[in-house]
Amino acid sequence: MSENFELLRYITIGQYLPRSSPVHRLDPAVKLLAVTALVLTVAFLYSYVGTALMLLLILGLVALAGVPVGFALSGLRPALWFVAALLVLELLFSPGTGLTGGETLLSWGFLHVTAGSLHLTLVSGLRLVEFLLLMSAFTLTTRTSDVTRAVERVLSPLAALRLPTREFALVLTIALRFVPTFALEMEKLMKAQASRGGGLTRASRWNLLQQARARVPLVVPLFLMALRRAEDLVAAMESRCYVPGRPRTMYRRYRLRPADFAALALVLAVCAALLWAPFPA
Amino acid sequence: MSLTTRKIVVAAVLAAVSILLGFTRLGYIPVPTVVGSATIMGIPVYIGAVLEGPLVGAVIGLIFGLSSFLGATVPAFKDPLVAVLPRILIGITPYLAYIAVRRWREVYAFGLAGLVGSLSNTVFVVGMIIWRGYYSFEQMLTVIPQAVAEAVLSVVLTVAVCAAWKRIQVGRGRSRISQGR
Amino acid sequence: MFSVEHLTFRYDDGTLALDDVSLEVPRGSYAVLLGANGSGKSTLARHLNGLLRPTSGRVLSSGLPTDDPRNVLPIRARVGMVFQNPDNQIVATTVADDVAFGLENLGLPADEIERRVDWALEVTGLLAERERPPHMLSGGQKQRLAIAGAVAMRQEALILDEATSSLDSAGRREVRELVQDLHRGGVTVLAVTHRMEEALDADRVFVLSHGRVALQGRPREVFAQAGELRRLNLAVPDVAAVSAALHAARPAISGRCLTSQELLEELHRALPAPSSAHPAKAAPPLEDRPCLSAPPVAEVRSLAHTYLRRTPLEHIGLRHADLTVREGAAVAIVGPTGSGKSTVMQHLNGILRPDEGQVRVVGVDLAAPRPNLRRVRLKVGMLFQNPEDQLFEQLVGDDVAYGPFQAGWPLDKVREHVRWAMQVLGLDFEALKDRPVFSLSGGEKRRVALAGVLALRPDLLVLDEPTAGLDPRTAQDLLAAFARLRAEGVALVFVTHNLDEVLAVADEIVILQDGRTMGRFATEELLRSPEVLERHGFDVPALLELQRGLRGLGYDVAARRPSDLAAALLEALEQEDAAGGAAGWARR
Repeated sequence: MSENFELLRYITIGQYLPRSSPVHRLDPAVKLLAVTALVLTVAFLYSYVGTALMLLLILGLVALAGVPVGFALSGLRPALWFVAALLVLELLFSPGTGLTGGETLLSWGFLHVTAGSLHLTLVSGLRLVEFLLLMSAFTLTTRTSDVTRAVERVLSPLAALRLPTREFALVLTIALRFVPTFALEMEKLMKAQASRGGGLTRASRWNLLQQARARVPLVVPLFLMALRRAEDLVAAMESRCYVPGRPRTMYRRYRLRPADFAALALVLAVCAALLWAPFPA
Repeated sequence: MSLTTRKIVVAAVLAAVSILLGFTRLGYIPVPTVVGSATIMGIPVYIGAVLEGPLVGAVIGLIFGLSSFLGATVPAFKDPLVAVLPRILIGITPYLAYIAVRRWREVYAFGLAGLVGSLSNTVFVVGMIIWRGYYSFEQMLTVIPQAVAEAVLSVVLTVAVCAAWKRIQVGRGRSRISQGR
Repeated sequence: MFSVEHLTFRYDDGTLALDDVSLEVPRGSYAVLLGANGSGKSTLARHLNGLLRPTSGRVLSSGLPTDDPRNVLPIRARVGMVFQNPDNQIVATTVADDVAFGLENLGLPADEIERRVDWALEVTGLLAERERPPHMLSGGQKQRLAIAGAVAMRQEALILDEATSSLDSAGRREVRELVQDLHRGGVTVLAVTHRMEEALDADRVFVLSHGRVALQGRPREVFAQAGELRRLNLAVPDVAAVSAALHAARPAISGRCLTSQELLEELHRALPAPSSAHPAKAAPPLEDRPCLSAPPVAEVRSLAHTYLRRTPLEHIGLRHADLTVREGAAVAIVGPTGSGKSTVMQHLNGILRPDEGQVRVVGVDLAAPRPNLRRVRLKVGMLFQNPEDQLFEQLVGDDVAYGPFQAGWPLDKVREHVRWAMQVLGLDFEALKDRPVFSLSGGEKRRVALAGVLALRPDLLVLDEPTAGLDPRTAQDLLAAFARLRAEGVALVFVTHNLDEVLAVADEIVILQDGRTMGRFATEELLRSPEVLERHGFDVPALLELQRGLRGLGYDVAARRPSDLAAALLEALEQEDAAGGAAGWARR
């Protein structure tokens, strides 16, 4: 098993790709709402026709965003075999009740494919592709700082209900800010423990006990490091006059244009249509 | 419940740890079951609940759920009701376990919190999977070894981190190399 | 600006951190708080912006008492603070957003924030980085970002709490220049540090010890008291040490010189021209130099390495590096950030594998497809930066024993190795083996981490900036431990940007730049020809500058330590006197 210490490699998924497509130019909060609506629709859409139509729609969005489809799906590559295996399992081993019921199409010993399980498998597979494409289209066209501000803006009406929306958005911002830093820290930890004869590669793959014990020297220091950093950050934030719950202004300014409203309305309408249209099951 | 800077920051850093574990192989322990691997991304949620309370636990749980939802390749987890909703609750159950036991021995409270958190995660998520119809109850029984692994790891790591952080000694204070003297 | 009146402070657990401290920092001045670890200097700094409140006594910041909760926000709006760890002050995902954080907290309108952010980025030289995420910044840039936040808030005063301790020399220089600019612009500066060199910029220096003000005055006055400073566990800058030592033996020479230039001028004035060419005094070797034909324990030839290949972040770490480490030798790898020092280092135990070139360590060829990594990891110990962060066990003994247990050794052997490793590093085995890790100080934790690496009794020890972030006294203790290790035959490779450290420990220096080996020199050579360092863009350490200047005056002395240099010069002067230099002295 080869040692691979380059963790940042995995965090580069979803980087911002500076282009100038119509999707890039949309307001980030609008994009966030649109993506949320689309993602929820995909999650609850079950008919063949609906899912296929959604796929077409999403491919259109990806094209509009100027993102190459292959690049958008590259997140799937490492897990491809695994996903394929899962889908096959779902296809062949379903209980034949509930979602996976219906007439039996094929049968061979204890393996059986029902109309239901076929449906579930195909739709699951399509959903996966659709999600990946959607998330890529979103993250590749929107800067991270805009995303966290978008969360703030979208949630702000809830602040009227005395919910701590700005604080939650700050939690997200700080979390996203630290992920790459922690990844680098993690790399160092892995190298240090490997240098002492520990590390993940020493544990054989299917031995649960070894795998668990190999993680303790990596995970415990990671947590402690995170908590220490939290202490420092609290002092720094308070030194910069941060008071939770106190009204704050926002540095970045966003202006909504007619195109933004139109795009959002269109997306919501399409989602509603797809969800409530009486497609054949 | 007061909202302090510390709560915000601790929620953020533990959420970052959860996200990081979710995107690297550190977070996944390979187990041959239907849903793939035993995971440790829930542990930051339990630790957050113990150290800073149920609100922080719930927030970390929410972010863990979102991260799980967005990063999942398993079709069942591409459903927000499976990936996100239960995870909010697993930020609260460890806290309840912790406060129930901490007057007795705080270290046991840490362990119980880890255990309860992990079991809640398994039960709620699996429950959702079954309810939504992705797999049957019988099929879900295959995740028991994975659930056990997760529970053990959750207890060990929650205790290790919380005890070290709160400067509480675990055990009898003799290192392995001191034995037999 | 800051007024501290009889401040006493106890932590919640009862420990007394500050004991009846009183001091004044006038508006517009530049004050420095010096002290060893545990002296209370950081604690005092945190009182000045209200992070801590006095147990008794009074602290006034910008005229406002800090114990009134209503004053906290106004004080923090006017008094900024920069902390030691550059990363743990950055809140946002880009530089510009982070600068804006404080302004958002103050409730300023967006267009005003925008103006101030642009201005602050310009003042701190970060305009080009404005959209960059924090993990892609250097340490110096991160600290400048923290200062930019203060600049944007238009603060009257800036407190720097060990803000340069974690930085390399380039970063320290950037921060120092920026702070000097701000000071010239009228900002009151209070810097907490254990680096004496930084105190040279100040108007006033306060030295704390055990929670009390032990010394105060202008820098020159304070540094002249070298003996007192040493007693307080502070390292005296090399020039001041030489100056004081010379003054002690020959009162005609001023003991208050702070820079090498001052001292050389003083010596030019005070010393006679040597009557005869002095025989070149060879620098006494630190220890017996290893025979040059000792077998190499590590060899690196034409090494190249690229990071994160096939991703958008791909970059070249090394282009062409050469290195040879012989048994028992001590080699220092120096170079600016980004020169590839860490990359080379990580090849030495197989953590990184060569993309091109050869690496041969303890007889194992690491460019081969399946090298014996187990042997390499047993024989080569590696210590990364801030190793105290990697401790994971509850008890000290367990953590140090981790490596040996992983190697599969029996309990007795493990215990013996752990005992040896701890003792070499000055850690009491019996007292500490069952102690919880969290009860140790930072310096002790670092030594525990190092013990964990040593417990495998490696032939070669590779260290990345081993003394980074340590106060001078702890650093010296650590270097002494390295000397003990060398005496036991362990070869050392250490990566550093601190040339003073190099002089103290290394036989050989390898200079890296831009991923290439630019030169390999014996330390002896550098003592004689410091121009080599200048040619490669390094600042010449003060001690070498002094030696160069002395040669210019006709005194050919060479030494690696201030005490040795002073002794050598005094010896030369005695010879001068004996050889009838009375005439020369009469000139005075």
